[in-house]
Amino acid sequence: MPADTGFLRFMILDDEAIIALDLAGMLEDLGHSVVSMATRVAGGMEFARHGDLDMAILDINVDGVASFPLAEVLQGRGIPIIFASGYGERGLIDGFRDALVLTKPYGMDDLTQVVAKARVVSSQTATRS
Amino acid sequence: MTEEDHPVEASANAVPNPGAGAAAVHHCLVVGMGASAGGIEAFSKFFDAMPNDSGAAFVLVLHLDPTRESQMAKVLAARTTMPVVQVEDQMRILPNHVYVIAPDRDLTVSAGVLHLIKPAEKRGHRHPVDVLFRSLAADQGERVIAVVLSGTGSNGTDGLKEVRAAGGLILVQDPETAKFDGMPRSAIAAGMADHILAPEAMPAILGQYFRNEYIAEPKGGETSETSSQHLIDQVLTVVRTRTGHNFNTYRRSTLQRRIQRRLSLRNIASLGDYLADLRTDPAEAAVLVRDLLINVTSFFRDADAWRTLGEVVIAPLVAARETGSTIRVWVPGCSTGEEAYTVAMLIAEQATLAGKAFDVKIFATDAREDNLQTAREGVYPAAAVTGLDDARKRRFFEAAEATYRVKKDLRATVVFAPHNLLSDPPFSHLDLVTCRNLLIYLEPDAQQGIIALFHFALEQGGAMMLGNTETVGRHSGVFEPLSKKWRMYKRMGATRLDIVNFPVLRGQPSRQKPEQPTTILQSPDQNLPVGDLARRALLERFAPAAVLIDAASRVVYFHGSTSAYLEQPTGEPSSDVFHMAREGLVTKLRSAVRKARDEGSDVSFDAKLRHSGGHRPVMVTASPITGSGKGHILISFAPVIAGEARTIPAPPENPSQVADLRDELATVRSELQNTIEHLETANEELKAANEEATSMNEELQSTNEELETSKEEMQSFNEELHTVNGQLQSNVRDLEDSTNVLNNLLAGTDTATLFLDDKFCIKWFTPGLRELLDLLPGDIGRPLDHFALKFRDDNLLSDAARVMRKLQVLETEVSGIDGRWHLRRMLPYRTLDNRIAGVVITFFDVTDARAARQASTEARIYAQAIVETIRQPLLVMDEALNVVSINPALEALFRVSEAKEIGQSVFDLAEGGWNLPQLHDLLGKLVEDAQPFNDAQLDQSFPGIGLRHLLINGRKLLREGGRQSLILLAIEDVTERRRAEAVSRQLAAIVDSSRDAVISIDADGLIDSWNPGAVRIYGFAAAEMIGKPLSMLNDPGQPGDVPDCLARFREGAQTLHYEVSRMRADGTPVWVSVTQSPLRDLSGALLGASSIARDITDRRQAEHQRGILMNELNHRVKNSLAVVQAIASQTLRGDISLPDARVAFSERLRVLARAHDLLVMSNWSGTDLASVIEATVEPHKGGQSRFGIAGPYVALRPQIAVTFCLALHELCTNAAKYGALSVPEGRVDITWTVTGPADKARLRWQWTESGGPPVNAPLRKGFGSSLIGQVLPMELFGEVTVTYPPTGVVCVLQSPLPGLDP
Repeated sequence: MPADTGFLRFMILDDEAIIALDLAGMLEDLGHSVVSMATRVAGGMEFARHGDLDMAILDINVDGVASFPLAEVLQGRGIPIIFASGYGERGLIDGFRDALVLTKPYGMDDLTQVVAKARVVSSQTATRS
Repeated sequence: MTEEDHPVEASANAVPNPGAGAAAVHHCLVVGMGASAGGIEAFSKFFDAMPNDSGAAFVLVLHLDPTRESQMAKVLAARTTMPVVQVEDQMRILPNHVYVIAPDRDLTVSAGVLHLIKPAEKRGHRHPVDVLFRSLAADQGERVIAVVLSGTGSNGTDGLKEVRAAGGLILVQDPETAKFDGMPRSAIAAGMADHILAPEAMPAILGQYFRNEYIAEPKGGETSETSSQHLIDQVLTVVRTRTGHNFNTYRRSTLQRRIQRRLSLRNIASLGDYLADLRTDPAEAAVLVRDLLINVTSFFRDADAWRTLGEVVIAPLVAARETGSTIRVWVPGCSTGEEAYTVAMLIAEQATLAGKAFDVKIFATDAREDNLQTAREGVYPAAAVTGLDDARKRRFFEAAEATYRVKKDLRATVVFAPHNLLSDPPFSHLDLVTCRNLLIYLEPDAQQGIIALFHFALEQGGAMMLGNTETVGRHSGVFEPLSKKWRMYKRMGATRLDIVNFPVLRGQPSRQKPEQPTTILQSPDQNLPVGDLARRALLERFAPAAVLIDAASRVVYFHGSTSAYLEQPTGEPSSDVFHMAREGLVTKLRSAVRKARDEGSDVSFDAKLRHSGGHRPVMVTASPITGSGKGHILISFAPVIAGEARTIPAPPENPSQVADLRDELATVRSELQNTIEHLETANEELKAANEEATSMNEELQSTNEELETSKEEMQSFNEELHTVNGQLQSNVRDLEDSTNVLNNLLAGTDTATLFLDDKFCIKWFTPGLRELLDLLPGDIGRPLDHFALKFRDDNLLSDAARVMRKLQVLETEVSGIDGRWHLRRMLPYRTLDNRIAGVVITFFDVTDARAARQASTEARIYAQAIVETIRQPLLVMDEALNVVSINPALEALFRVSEAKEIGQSVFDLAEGGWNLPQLHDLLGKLVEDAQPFNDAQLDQSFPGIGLRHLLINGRKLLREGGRQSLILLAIEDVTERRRAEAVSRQLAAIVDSSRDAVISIDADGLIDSWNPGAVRIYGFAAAEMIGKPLSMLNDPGQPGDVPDCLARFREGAQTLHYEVSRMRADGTPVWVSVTQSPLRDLSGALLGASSIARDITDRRQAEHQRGILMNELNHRVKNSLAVVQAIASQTLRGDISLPDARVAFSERLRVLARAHDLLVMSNWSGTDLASVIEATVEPHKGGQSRFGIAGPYVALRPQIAVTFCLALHELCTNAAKYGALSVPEGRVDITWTVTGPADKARLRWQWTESGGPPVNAPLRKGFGSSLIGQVLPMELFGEVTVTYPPTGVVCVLQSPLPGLDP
């Protein structure tokens, strides 16, 4: 379990490669590392199942394909997920209504806060389990 | 038999017999002939065939009018050569003579002399034929011959019974030949006829019969030849075998005569032949038995005898018995039961008189089962009960038609049983035995046996009644006479088993077993109590010998040894004490007994009895037994023992004998004196009686004279009556004719007619009246107002009075209770002499006429009312087509008035508006051919009224009675209807053509119209939906969205508008916009609603699409902003000066914008590689030849196109700064190829700079190199290599063909 202030290993899924690169830059600026960047759900699935990571930031509509199947895999592994979407929270489906959402476009502060929240939620979940 | 036992014969002999000797009487056969109506014809035929020398005399009895002189003798004299005389009293009967009865007399015959007697019965109840037959039977015995001819009633039948009993011959006229068959049939039915013949056939039979031995031989001349006796025995044997009847004990003479009679009837000469006949013919045996077992009986035969029985026997018996005790009676030889019922009636009557009720058992027995059968049924012909008075008939019989049936209670007292007196054991403990006229047919021994049997059978003191000529004979000692005349006896003395010869019980299982006389079989001694035994011993020891005699001086009881005083003399045994008294005792005993009887005290005398050479003195005492009341006297004999020797020696002959003789003489003298005194007294009495008789005779003679006088008067009166009668008879005939005519007239008309007299009493009526008045024929003479009328007519009697007063005919109609109407016609009843004697009322049924009249009136009113009220205009014309009448509707339509138009031609009507060729045509046909027409259409513009569309029906009314026909036109103005129909057709077309669903519902919410638009929108056919509720269309996914429009309209809503999803027939939903409006009638009441629905599915879809687009747009904008943010953030990253950054950022945004332009131009559906490249390099072209762009068509998705633009822009920027584009002669070649199979096609794209300054590898990596080196491969899943040869930068991209899915 990463500490509250510890560096985290992130997975990024976004079909907009520019946005993914920019997010990766921002995470690295915050001291985290990006261990996987995927622009397609199918392309990211292998890593989501078996990759070594602490947290994931997932676009919802990835080149016309919803990212929820991949999110379920991560959820199954107990990995905190943050959805980033232009739809905001309205784009969520049942099962992920309480998930953390980063509404595009977002700034550094938004990212910092949501990662911190994800840490808290994750730690509570872990404590419970 | 004693002398007193023959009173009947004695009186018969007393009749003077003047003229001829007795022998002649005997030898003249007398034929008694009886007839009544139709008799003269039968007599005539008979005498036509009867020879005049038959040797017989004919005595004729007819019913003659008692008041008229008979012409019979004259009539018959014409038919025979024999002398015919009307009988006069005391006329001797002579052979070959015909005697005719005189009017109003009964005729009897005795000892060959005719007697005329004034009839005892009233006229109409007389049976003169019976009287004649009875007297003939008594007079002639078996020689009697009786002939019954035509006549009504049963006269003769009773007399025939006596004839039959006497053994006479009976001829009866064949009923088929008789004019009136009542008398013959009655005789035949009673079984009396020996021959049934036509009158003309009778003389031949009679002739045979006269010559027969049976008749020819005088009575009493018995055949004693042994051969004959032997044959008779054989006959009896045959009869016994055939029928079971044993006649061996019957009187031989009777048997022989009866058998002889059968011989004569069957015309058989010898007994031997008869025997053969009998053996072969079973029926003859039965007939012979019937003849032998004589049955002559009737109710109260010898009424005096029965009256006496009632007084002497039954009344005392009833008086002595308690209620409830049993009275037992035996009637042997009961025949057909009349005697038994007679006894039963007597007992019943006496019991009623005494107010007692007994258990009466009358055993009525007879040997003939057929007789018993008749007796048991108890049904007798009317003739049999004529001897009974009305009281008895009422009490004991039920009358039915011509017969009388014995009532049940009387019948129940009599038990009928088959029993042969000669062979079956008797009944016992009887109170009464009646056996009349049976013993006479039996041999004396058998008679005595039966008397003894009766003695045994009777209780002590029980009574016996025999026939008039029968006596108890030698058993007189044990029977005390109760009535000598009528042979009634009382049983006396102990039961004498010695005299009873019990019939041996034979094996006759079919017979009812008679009661056994059990108590009698015991010895009397064994029954005596000890006291009686002692008493008897004392009496025998000490009491003197004695005998008890009865009033007739017969010994009824012996006590002790009386042989010393009494002895039986020679000859027949006798119980007379004076016969038995020994010599020397008789005279004194007779005197003493008389004295004792007269004085009522003991009388004693001494007597000496000669006894074995000596005299024995004896004291004889006669003591009347007062207690018995029967005149019993006890005579006791006591020997005198006066100190002398028991036997006094005989005194010396002379003196003592003289003295004895003197004594005896004195005794005889005194006896003689007594006798003389008696005789004198009797003589005196006789003289007185003689006087009385003489005076009575005087009286009778004067009465007779008076009667003669009145008879003459009557005769003259009778003559008068005859004349009047003749006149009346002719009147009656006339009246009968009139009555017949009237009856037939009235029956024929069947008119109810009532005749009332002047008091309004019913005089006469016809049967037809019964429907109106409940009248019976017996109501004639009763006042009319006593009857309830069956019709409403309060004025009946007052009208009748008026008719009587004013002598006018009155007619009025009256209604019956049953709803029928009658015309009541009343007119005075005029007699021939024009007197008014009442009224005649006739009733004619006018119901139908009245109903027809009423119906026609009603029909007229009905028709008129219809014409007046109907809304259709009606026009009636005559054959000339002139208006006869027009109705108010027509007046209104054409603004005409009936008054003005009547009589005008129809073509002038409505100012000539009807003058149309079409109408001329139609009416012409109608008038000529009577051809009706319907719905003839007439469109015509009428002056002042305008265009009218009319439909016309025409009829020709043919009228009966030659009256002019009428033309009837019925007109219908359909103008308004046509208009309305046109409007409604237009509206319907609109609804039908509308694309909207136009539906109407009724007040119950049920669909009643469904247009094609509705079919299109909802998919349901009109037929499926009409009558269904609108809610059928509700979409189950959206319940409750449909308002209840009818409820809302009732609350006052005007229109409803809403959108709703409906369910189509195929189950898919359809969105409709609904507008609903109420349908109301003129009064505002809700009739239903209209509902118009428009399909808004397309609009709803468009709206939905727009929402999706807005959402997508928002997403894209946010995404684009995120990209812009990323570009900004990447541009600013690194050590770049702010002015440089600003330029770079704005150029990058410009590229981004251009990429978006490109995408918008292609409707954001993607573009192709060449276009992207052309657009991106455009700002960097400078000259025409700086770029070489070549490659096949490769489609790009929008996102890749954008990335490609950005990346190509970085390459261009870098080339412009540092590479081939930084010099004018430098150029860039952009080429690409697609290789590989279609599904695995790959793109190889190459950027090649040339002609520029020498190239060095870049020192730092900026956003541009990130785009090219990282973003592009990520997007395209390919590889990018950038090399820096001296000729210029070369960038190669190798990836799967981007148009394909990754």
